[in-house]
Amino acid sequence: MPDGAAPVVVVGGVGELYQGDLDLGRVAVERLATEDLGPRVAVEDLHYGAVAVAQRLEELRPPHLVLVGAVARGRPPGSVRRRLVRPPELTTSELQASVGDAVTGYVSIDLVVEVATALGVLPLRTVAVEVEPATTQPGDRLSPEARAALERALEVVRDEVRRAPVLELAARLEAGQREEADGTEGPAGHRTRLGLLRAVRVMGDEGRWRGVHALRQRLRTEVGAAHSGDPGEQALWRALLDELDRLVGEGPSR
Amino acid sequence: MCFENLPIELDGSGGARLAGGIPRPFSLEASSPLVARTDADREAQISRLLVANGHVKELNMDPVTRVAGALAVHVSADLEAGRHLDAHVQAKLFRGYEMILKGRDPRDAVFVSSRACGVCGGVHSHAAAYAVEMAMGVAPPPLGTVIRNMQESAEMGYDNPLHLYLLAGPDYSESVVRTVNPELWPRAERWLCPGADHHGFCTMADLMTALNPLTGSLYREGLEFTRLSRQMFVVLAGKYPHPQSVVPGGVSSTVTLQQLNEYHSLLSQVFDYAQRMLAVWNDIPEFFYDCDDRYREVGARPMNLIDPGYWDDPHAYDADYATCNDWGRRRWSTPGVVIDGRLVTTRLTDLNIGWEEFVSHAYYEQWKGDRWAGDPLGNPISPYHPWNKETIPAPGARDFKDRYTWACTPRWDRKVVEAGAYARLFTTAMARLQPENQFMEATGRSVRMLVPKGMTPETEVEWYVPDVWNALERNRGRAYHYVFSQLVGLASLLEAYRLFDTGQRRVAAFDPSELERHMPTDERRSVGWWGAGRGWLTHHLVMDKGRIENYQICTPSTINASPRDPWGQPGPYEEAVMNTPIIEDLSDPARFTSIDMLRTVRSFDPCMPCTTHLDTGRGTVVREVTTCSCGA
Repeated sequence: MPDGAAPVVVVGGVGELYQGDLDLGRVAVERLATEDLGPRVAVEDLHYGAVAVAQRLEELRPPHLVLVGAVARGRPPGSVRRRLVRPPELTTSELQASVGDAVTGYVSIDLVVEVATALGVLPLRTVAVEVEPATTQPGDRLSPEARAALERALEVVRDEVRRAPVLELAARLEAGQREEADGTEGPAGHRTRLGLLRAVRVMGDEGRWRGVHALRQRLRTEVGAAHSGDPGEQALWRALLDELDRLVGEGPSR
Repeated sequence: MCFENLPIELDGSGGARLAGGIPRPFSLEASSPLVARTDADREAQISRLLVANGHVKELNMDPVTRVAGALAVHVSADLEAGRHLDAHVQAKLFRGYEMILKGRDPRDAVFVSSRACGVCGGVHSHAAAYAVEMAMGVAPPPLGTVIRNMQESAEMGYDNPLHLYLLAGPDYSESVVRTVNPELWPRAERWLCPGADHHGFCTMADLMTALNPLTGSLYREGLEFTRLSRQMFVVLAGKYPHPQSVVPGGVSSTVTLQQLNEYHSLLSQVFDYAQRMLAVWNDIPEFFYDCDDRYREVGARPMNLIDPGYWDDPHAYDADYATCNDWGRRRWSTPGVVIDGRLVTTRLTDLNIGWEEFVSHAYYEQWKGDRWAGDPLGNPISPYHPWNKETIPAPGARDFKDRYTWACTPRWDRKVVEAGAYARLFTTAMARLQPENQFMEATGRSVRMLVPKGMTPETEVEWYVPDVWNALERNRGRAYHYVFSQLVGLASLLEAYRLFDTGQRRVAAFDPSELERHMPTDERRSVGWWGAGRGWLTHHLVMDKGRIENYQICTPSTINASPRDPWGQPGPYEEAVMNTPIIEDLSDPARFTSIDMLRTVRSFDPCMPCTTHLDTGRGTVVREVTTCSCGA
């Protein structure tokens, strides 16, 4: 990441060293740190206390956060699950209990989310990529199940990172369009574009991108037909289409 | 007389020898402490009360497994008389770092032991480096020691506010006090704070409101200052809580003037905050004492404390066991043992040879203990000494008459001693051995500290050995320890500048890549005497053929959470809970929160997953307490 540039995406590995598969998050970011994930992607080892992690997020203020780690949820060992994280609805005393855990060094994906919520620094869009551990006994090696799951989890993380610019641009455009349409019905094309942007958001939320080719085509048609006088907005639309092209592997359209 | 229970005699020059004519001198029978009150006495009392009235309750605080380990407190209480009759503390976490380290390269201990804790990993890194360098016979150059001191001052700067505002503080907050001590609230609204000029809160009610979790200004400020101190640590060590730059023989970081200036800039923000902290934690005890004198008994126990000292004199420390009493006494906080409010020794060798760890009530098997009869100077040590100890886990069912915890039972001279950051103030105040400096002065019964000016003018503050030792005084002591530790940071920074000016810029005995070449292959023993946010921290090492043969970590919370010893003496938490009156309103048992017991346990700043649930006989889960995982 260029010096001084604020990251758009932070990939955070949440792990517990020497605790068997619970160390997976740290191992994951150790691998990702050697890869070129993009110019404004920061890879962070977040295996220290959750309050310090939340304070780090406060410094970075990324719009997108991808957390990766092992979490025991009772699923089959080695299974990988991607989920969009919603801020948990906890009472003040529950949040304080989380902060109490966190300041004393505990860290887990749930605790990071709870504490970041308590301190008001949970990024707007947070995704967790969770691996079900096979063993959480003390040890410095991952189980065979976790090692296999790590590769799949890394793929999911890379996908999330690749898609982040699309979601970022779509979110900015959607916010602008909503503002424009506020209180009015707006022209049909406008409503259609807003609908398409929402569709992009839903794809991102659900992590289901099968319809992205068709969506890109429809957006291109709609944007081509639109007559926005705002050069800034035009640039955003072009950037979104370029990013969609990159995402589907066709490179920029211009 | 230094030792009263162990059969050890000291000669005029400080050498120790076993008293003659005692067969098996370290056996449990031959050297037993005088126990005023036994478990049988307590049991008999409870039985009598049960027959006489129906107010005796078993308060069964069951742990929850939301966290990786727990501390549970089980008490019997006479609710009519408002007394805790019996208490057992159960550590539910097995750490096992000693076993992970066995057979490894000793240098690994610096990095592996750090992972025992997510709060204060740095203290373990340092303690391990001290242990390994003593075994290697390698002393850091002065600037290496100074940088370590600065790092560890920063670590205390992180740890103390964390406890005071984020863990213990909420117990004294408006949201808790209005709920559990409603009778105090009208008083709090009227009670004018003597420290208002410093902390800015006119009444105790205002101050308590500022302690409210998440929303209170003191709570939020505490959180911010933990960040600042972490930054101070990172400026020097690169990362926290698990630094990679602490090495046997010094530190491996490159230290520049710019880093020293950055540290200075951050440290200078601390002192105004420190003065506010003192005012807050001076006012809180006074308010509670004013409201009800019984608060002096909450968490009370005898003034028996121990600490191995902390922060070395860079020109005295030579990493040699043979000279440890000399360099130990030159530490910024003096090593020592206080028994019944009296300092009985400041010699590290006395601390070491008087140290034993028992497992009669813990989930471990007894070891043989015949490996070593003495320390490297020939002073006698017990079969229960850490150099003789083996960690042999033996999990089993909980039985308060037998084994009930994963914490072992450390004792000094077979006496129940307490560890804590505040123990440094006791030993330093009483010993009056602190190196000459411009910021701190030990008077015999107090420590005077000159807080440099920031936004507020330069101020002299003074911590006095208290008349009673209880939960509120622990918190007050911790606040003064914060100031003390930051002044050590400042004095060390000034020494670092001086060393820079005189060209003494080496921070390690040799390049870390050469460490391997200096690793001895013969058998060596050593000890890292160090400190943590909660007090005493030791790492005992035995190595041979370049590998760790035995590694024993003793943390302050192991000491404080210890169970009964072989003679039935309760550990410090247990003892303090038993001495705690139940002051909260008991008219409705369903609303009983056990706040007095919780304030007691939390005042020690227990550092282990500690989940305390209280069952009042109706299956009511009342409160959880959760803290960190290492015991330091």
